[in-house]
Amino acid sequence: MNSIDLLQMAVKNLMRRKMRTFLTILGVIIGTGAIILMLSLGIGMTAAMKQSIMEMGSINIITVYSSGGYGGYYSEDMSTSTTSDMQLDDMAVQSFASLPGVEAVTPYLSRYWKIYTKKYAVDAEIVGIDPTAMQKMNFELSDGRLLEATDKLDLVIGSEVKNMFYDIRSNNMHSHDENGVDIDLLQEKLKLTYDMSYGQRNSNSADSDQKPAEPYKVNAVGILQEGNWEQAYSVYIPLEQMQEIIEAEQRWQKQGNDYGSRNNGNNTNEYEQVKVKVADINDVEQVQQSINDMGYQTQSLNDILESSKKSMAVTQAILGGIGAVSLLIAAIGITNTMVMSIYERTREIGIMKVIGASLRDIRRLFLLEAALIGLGGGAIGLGVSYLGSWLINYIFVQQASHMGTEGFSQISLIPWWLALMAVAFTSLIGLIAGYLPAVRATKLSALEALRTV
Amino acid sequence: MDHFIELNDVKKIYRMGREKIIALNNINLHVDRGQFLCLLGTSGSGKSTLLNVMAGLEKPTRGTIKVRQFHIESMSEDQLARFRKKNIGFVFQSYNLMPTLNALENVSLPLIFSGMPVKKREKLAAKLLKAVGLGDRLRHKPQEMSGGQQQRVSIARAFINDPRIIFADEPTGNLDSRTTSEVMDLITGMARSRGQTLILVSHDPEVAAYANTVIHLKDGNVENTIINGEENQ
Ligand SMILES: Nc1ncnc2c1ncn2[C@@H]1O[C@H](COP(=O)(O)OP(=O)(O)OP(=O)(O)O)[C@@H](O)[C@H]1O
Ligand SMILES: [Mg+2]
Repeated sequence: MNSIDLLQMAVKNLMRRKMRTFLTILGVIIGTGAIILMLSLGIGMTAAMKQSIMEMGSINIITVYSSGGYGGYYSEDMSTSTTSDMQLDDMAVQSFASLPGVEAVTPYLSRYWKIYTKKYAVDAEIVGIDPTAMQKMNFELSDGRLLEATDKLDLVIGSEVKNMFYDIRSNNMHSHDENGVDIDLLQEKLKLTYDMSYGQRNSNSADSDQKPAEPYKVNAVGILQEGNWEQAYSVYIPLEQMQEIIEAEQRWQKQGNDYGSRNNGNNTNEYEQVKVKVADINDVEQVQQSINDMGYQTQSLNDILESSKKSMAVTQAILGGIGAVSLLIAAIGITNTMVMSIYERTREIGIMKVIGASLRDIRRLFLLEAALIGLGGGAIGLGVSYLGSWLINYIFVQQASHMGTEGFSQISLIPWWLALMAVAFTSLIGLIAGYLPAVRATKLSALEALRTV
Repeated sequence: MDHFIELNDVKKIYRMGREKIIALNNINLHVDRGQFLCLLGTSGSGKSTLLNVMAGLEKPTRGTIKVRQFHIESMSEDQLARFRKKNIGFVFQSYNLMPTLNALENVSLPLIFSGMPVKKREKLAAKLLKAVGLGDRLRHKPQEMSGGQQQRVSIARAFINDPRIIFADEPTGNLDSRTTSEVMDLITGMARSRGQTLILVSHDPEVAAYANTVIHLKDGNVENTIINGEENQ
C-alpha cells in the first residue's frame, strides 16, 4: 500500500466522524496550548530575569576582593576571610591576567570625592582604572570617548552622576533637581577635590586649622550610557592619576589632624577591588574558581545568574508539568477515540484483511489516523498559543505601565524550537496513543471481525 | 499425483468452555485446476468452516491443506495476507463491501493494498464493473444499490486481482431465484473464461447444478462426492 493512498484513507476515515474527530483534536489543541503557554511564560520570565541581571552589570566581569577586605555587596560568608590575607597588588593583577580565558584586568582604586563646577557640585565615587583595559570592560558611551593611555586628568562619567549634582549655594546635596542640573559636563570646566568640606562655609573653620586643599582641574571626555547600574554612579579616571591624587591627599591629611583620614588603604599599590574580564561567558565560572583558589574573594553576576537559573528551572518545571498533564489527558482522548473507531470499524478491518491488507497496512492506517489527530491538534494549538502569548504580553505590558514597571515588553516568549518541538511532540503523542489501538486492530481475527454487525 | 488443492485428515474442533464442537471431523478431498466445486449440506454441517479452512481464514485443529505447493496451515498471518492478495478472491453471502466507498473504490480496494497507482486500478475496476453489468453505477455507494447489484460489485472485487481461486460462501443466499441465476451465470462464466478454480458453498440444489463436483457434508464428514452427476466413492 503506498503512502498517498494510506494518507487519503486515513483522512477520509477521520472525516467520517467529524464531531468526534473535532472534539479529540480540541483536546490536543488545549493540551498543546497549555504546555506551550506555560513553557513560554517560563522562558519569557527567564529572559526578563537575565535582562535585568545584565542591567546590573556585565556578566563576564569578575570582581576580586582582597580576602577579608572590602567584602563588596555579597560578603555574607565572613568565615572564609579569617586566615590568609592576600594582597591585591600589581603582582596579583599580573597573575589574574595570565589566567587562560582572561581578556583584560584592571584594579579599581576608588575614593569618595567631590567634583564641582562654578555653581554645582557632586559627591561621587571616583574610580582609578587602567585606561588601556577600560576599552575591554564593557563600557558603553552615550557621548564622547573612553579613557586612553595618554590621558591624565581626564574623566569618564557615569550616566547617573549628572543627576546627582546639586547647587552649591543650597548646601544640601539632597535637594537636587529631579531632572538634574542643566550642565554639559563635556564642555564645563570641572574641578576635583578630596577636600569634602569644599563649599561648606561653616564647617571649614570650625573643624581644624587645615588650609583648603588645592583642587585639580579635570576634564570630562566621555559620558556613559544608561542601563548598567554598576557603572552608572561612578566617575572614572586613569589609575596613575588616581594614585598620585591619593598620595597628595595623604600628605594633606598629615598636615592637619587625623580627623579626616577616612580611608584605610594606605598603600596606593594595594587595591580594594580588581576587575577581571573573561572573553567567553562560559569560562567565567572556571576563571572565578581559579581566583578563589588563589585565596581571593570573588563575585560576579554569573553567580546570581546561575542561582536564579536554578530557581527558574523549578518554576519552569512546575509550569511545564501543568501543561504536560493537560497534554496527557489529550493523549488519553486520542487513545479513546481510536479504540472507539476500531470498535465501529471492526467489520471493515475484517473485510480489508480478507481481501489482502497486510498487518502492516492496518497498523499504519490506524497509527497515521492517530498521528494526524496529534499533528492537527498540535499545529492548531501552536497557532492558538501564539495568539494567547500575544494576548498575555499585551495585558502584561498594560498592567506594567499602570504599575510603572516598564522595561520588559513580554513575559511570554515562544522560541522557534519550542514551536517545532510542540508539533513534533504532539504527533509523537498521537503515535504513542494510537499504538495500542492499532496493535489491537491487527490482532482482530478476520473471520470474527466479519461476523460482527 | 499432485492436485491443485489437497486436504488430508483435516479436523476442526471448536471449544466452547468445556464443550467440544467437532465442525470438521476427518476431511480428505482434492480439487483440480479450473474445477467448480460445490459444498452442499444442511445448516451446521460444516460447509463454511471447510471453506474458511481451505482459504486460510481459519486454522485446522489437525491435518494439512496444500494449495499449489504451499502449506496453508503453517503460514503466518502475514504470509496468508500476501497469499490471499495474490491467489484468492472472496464472495460472501452478505457482500461485505466497505460502506463508505463507492462501487469503483470497493472493487479497486484489493489493488490499493498491492500498491497499484490510482489511475491504473480504477481503469481496471471500471472495466470489471462494466463486465458485471454495473457500468452506470460506478459512483454508487453500497446502500444506494440493490442486493443483486451489491453482490455483483463484490464479484467484480473478487476477480480484480485475477486470482487463481474464487471462494464463495452462499453468494446467492440473500437473493431471489431470478437474481440467483443471474449471479450464478456471472460467477461461473467469469471463472470458466479465465480458467479459475471456483469453490462455492450452498444449500440450494439449483446452485449445485452449476458445479462439476458436488460434495455433500454431514456433521463434519464428507457424505458423498458427485462428479459430473455420477456418484464417486
Ligand atoms: N466460531 C465458532 N465457534 C464455535 N462453534 C462454531 C464456530 N463456527 C462454527 N461453529 C460450529 O461448527 C459447526 C459448523 O458450522 P458452519 O458455520 O461450518 O456450518 P454451515 O454448514 O456453514 O451452516 P450454515 O448453512 O448455517 O451456514 C456448527 O455446529 C457451528 O455451531
Ligand atoms: Mg455457513
